[in-house]
Amino acid sequence: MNKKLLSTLLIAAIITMIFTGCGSNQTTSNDKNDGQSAANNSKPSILRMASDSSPSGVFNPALIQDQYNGYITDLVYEALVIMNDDIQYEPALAERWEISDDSQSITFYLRKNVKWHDGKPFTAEDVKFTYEFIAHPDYPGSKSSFISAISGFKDFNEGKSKSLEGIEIIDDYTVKIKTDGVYAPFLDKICFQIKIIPKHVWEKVEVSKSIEATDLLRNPIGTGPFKFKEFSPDRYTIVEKNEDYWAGIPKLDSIVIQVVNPETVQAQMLNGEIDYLLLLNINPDDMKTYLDAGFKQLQINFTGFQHMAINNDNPILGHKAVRQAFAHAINRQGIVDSLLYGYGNVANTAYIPSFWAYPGEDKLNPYEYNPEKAIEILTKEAGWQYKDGKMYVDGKPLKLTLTYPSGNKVRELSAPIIQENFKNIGIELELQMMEFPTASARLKKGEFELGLVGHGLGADADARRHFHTDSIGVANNSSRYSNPELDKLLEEGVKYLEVEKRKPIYHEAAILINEEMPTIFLYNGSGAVIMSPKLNGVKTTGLSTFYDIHNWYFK
Amino acid sequence: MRQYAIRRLLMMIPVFIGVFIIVFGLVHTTPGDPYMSMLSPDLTDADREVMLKAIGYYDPLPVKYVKWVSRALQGDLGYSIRYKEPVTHVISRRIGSTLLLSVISLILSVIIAVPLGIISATKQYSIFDYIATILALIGISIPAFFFALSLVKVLSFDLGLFPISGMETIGAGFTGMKRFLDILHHMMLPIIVLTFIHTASLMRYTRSAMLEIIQQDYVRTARAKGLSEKTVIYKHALRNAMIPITTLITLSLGYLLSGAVLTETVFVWPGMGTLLYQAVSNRDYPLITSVTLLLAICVLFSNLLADIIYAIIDPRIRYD
Repeated sequence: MNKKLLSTLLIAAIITMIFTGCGSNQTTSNDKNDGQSAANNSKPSILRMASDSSPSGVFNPALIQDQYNGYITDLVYEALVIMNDDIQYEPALAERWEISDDSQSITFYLRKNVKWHDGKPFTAEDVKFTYEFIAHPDYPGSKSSFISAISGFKDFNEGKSKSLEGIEIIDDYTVKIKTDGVYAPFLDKICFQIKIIPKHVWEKVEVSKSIEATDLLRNPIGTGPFKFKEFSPDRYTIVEKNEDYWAGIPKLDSIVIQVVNPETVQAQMLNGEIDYLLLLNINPDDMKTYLDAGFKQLQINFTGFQHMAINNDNPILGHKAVRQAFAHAINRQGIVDSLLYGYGNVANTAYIPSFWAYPGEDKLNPYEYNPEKAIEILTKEAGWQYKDGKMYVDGKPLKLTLTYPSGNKVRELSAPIIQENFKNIGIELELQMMEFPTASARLKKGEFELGLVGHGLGADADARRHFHTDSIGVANNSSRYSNPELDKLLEEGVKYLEVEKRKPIYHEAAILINEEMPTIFLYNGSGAVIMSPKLNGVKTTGLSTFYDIHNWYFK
Repeated sequence: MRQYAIRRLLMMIPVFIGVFIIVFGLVHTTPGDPYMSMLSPDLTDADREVMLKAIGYYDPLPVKYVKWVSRALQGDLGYSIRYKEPVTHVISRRIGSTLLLSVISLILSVIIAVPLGIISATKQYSIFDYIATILALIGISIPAFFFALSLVKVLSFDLGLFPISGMETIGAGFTGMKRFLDILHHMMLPIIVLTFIHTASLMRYTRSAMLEIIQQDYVRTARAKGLSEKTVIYKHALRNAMIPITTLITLSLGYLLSGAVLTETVFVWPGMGTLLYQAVSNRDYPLITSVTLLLAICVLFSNLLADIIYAIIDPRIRYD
């Protein structure tokens, strides 16, 4: 009898719990609104951004490893220059700069009214400290290659010199950076990509121990428009406006970047729980839902390309004719139409059409979809045999394996299309999907035949990491392509600072890349920002997520 | 009895070492490295190598093993590669939120499943039994993430009753009672999913255990003696049926910590399940091995506990 009573009571308790839970929460959310209006007269403007993965809490821009930490450091820290929405460099911490006559050094004139978030003034010492931090022999991060062109880098990096020779402090607010030879991506790699960290904070720890200084890493002090407020791993990060920001007080009061589940984020957007969402791939059904619900969208172009890497070390595959034939064999326009829904285009060279290094559509071979032509090239130029709908190499039917990582939906879905396309030219293609780290490792080591992968170029045209012989096995030259002629062009291209002088070189390179198809280019995808109709002033680009964020506002 | 417990405890040591060596070996021989999924296109291999060397990635496997074990024995589980803080900190922050879900849903499912199972068994082939059986089959066969997403669609999105994900309202700054209610509100959906799924299997188990007992001779004898149906079921049959049920419940204690990876992921619940998922996808070796170690300990101890409880509640079992 007692037991019965007990269980009845328990059930009753649970039911009450459930109902009080719902009921009181409604009141709490009302209270919240009341509290806000009472405290501030008007509702504070909080921008809620969705992130599909959490930052790990390494909020030092010199030590970050992924874009999720990067979102936070981009808000809290600044570099000497920033890239605007026209892909041009604009002053940031440096109010102007002068390029020397020999193009080997740039003098930066720093802003004088900039303060770190803890109130200390920002000076040239911080700039020098940042570059020496990254060049330090014990530096535990991944950015030293960005600045290795700075004079004296090698000596300093090997511990042979006490200071980085190429960084010269002229006075408190003037600093001159010199490189060995002309370094074309100077403003990109050395300036835009390196955010300045405060000397007075980071000199307190040994450089080698900086990656373990959890307290400092999780309480970042920067100069940016937003100050760090709170971080809860795998849940959210909050930053609030910097009242002393040099370009004016940000119009948003705070920004909450919260981890969401990509499967449910749409519901959260429609419920008004999220105001800003960056989509790397676009699904038309989702897009229609957003637009019908009144959300605004902004298309984002990424400088990079999705391609099918082809192992050029493989004696069967490593021929220009094979690569060209494969480009004809794959219905790339079909992939763009059916999987990207217009948010992208077929890629035929390394650069996207809107970038200055792109030579123009008329100069490039479009490699239109044509299985017959593919078969013709393979049989006539590569010496393969085509019989009864099957492709033979040295008398044996050809069977290839396509390795690709899971995660990117469009890429996953393009694999079976390619498989079908290959069937049409008589080649059996086995699909091998694996998780990202495994697939990357295989591609890097050359343990594959064909592989789907995407590579980003960043803000500069320098593509040595993707196509130069020296990049085989160590960087992004997954196709293991080697061509002395292209190597020479790519080396030539980084010898000038001025875009106008580099243009003809890169146009030539792009045309050569198009002709050679070092890897099978597939498409340039674009993404989109979906945002609340009330959010205005957003100027997100593929290279600068938070450009001009102090002027974003709710209306 | 004590002798048995001690013997059983000692037997756990080799099992534990075996489990651990296998996990350690598998984790470290998986292709990829902790910096493989870093998205920066500009990271050179030289830089990557320096970073990998710093975390001992190139050490031979036995060296890694000895290093890890000797440190672990001193209570140092290592440093998480991803979170840049001691593994113990990372784990201790998650245990609470996972236990919150798993303990409550376990209690709820026991409270719901056991009585339902008993009623189902005693009223075999009744309408009640059919409905309960159908529900239980749905609960067993429905994938957790699908059920979770359906609940989100109906209860959160269409009806707006519950928040879609997370553990509390971010940035609201609630304290005390308000915070408690806020968390309770966020907890509802994951609890419903976990409870439903646990309940289904536990109920099926209770039902069949009960059915088996009811058909035994001594129950018929009890009925023949003229005992009331209530006494027969609750005093004579239930006691014996409870033995396997208790074992099952005790065994599931071992999984309390592991969290439900899928459910936690769907609701972005910051628990052990999402942590393990993150750790594996980022190849955070110290974190993976530590979490696995912890889970192995839990499972082994719950097995031990189940054996001991079994011995206590079932007088027929003698171990010496």
